[in-house]
Amino acid sequence: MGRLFIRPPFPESLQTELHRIRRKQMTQTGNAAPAIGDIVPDFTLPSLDGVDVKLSDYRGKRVAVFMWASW
Amino acid sequence: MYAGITAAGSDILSIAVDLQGPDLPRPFHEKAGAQFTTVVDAGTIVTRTFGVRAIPNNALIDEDGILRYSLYGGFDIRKPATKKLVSDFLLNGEMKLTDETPVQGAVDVASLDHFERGLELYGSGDLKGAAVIWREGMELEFDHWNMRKQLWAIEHPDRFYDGDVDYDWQKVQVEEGR
Repeated sequence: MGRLFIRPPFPESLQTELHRIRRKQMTQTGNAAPAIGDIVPDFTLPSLDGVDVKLSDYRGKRVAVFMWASW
Repeated sequence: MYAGITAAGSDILSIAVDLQGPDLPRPFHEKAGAQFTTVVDAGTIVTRTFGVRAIPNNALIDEDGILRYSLYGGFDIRKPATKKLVSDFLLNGEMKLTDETPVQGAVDVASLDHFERGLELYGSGDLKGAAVIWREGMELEFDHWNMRKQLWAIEHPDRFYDGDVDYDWQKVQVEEGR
């Protein structure tokens, strides 16, 4: 990433920017993940009741997506 | 807490990752008395969309569909710092990242292809074929946890489907590098 000439503690906006750059680097190595600041690709999954739910159904709201498993 | 979240105009979406479909995760959702929606990912949606290779996990997405943060496997909402990060975002739209905030590792694309090919075989009933492909995928990325667990479930179904999941056995497997 190169030398940094600003000494810590970094201002909050720079921390956010560093985070974004680090994440972007990870995705540029061919990894399958959107970086922070990217639009998350839409997907459709069935609910437990068998109803199709799209991520885009949540547009207009902040949403926390929790991923888990019973195993 | 969910009432507060919806009152703030936010929401929660829970994704249960399970090749077997909704029957395994359903009791967990009902036992928790969850009022938010739980969907089932029987394939690789979370892997492809979020780059997830280990769970539990969390992604925070804003009103415009933009990823604001994702937290690594081992995500625990009971940890005060984690709970604060998620609440501040859902309730107030705040997002503070620091140098200490953990960064999610993403899945190597090559092992992802193996995972998906294995899933196709698994779906068509060829469990042996799926295990072979997933074992190959492990050579490419040993830390692809979801794939590793699915492989264990095929090779050692008694550790997953006969009553409780045997987490002690999983610990031994990890220690032995299997």
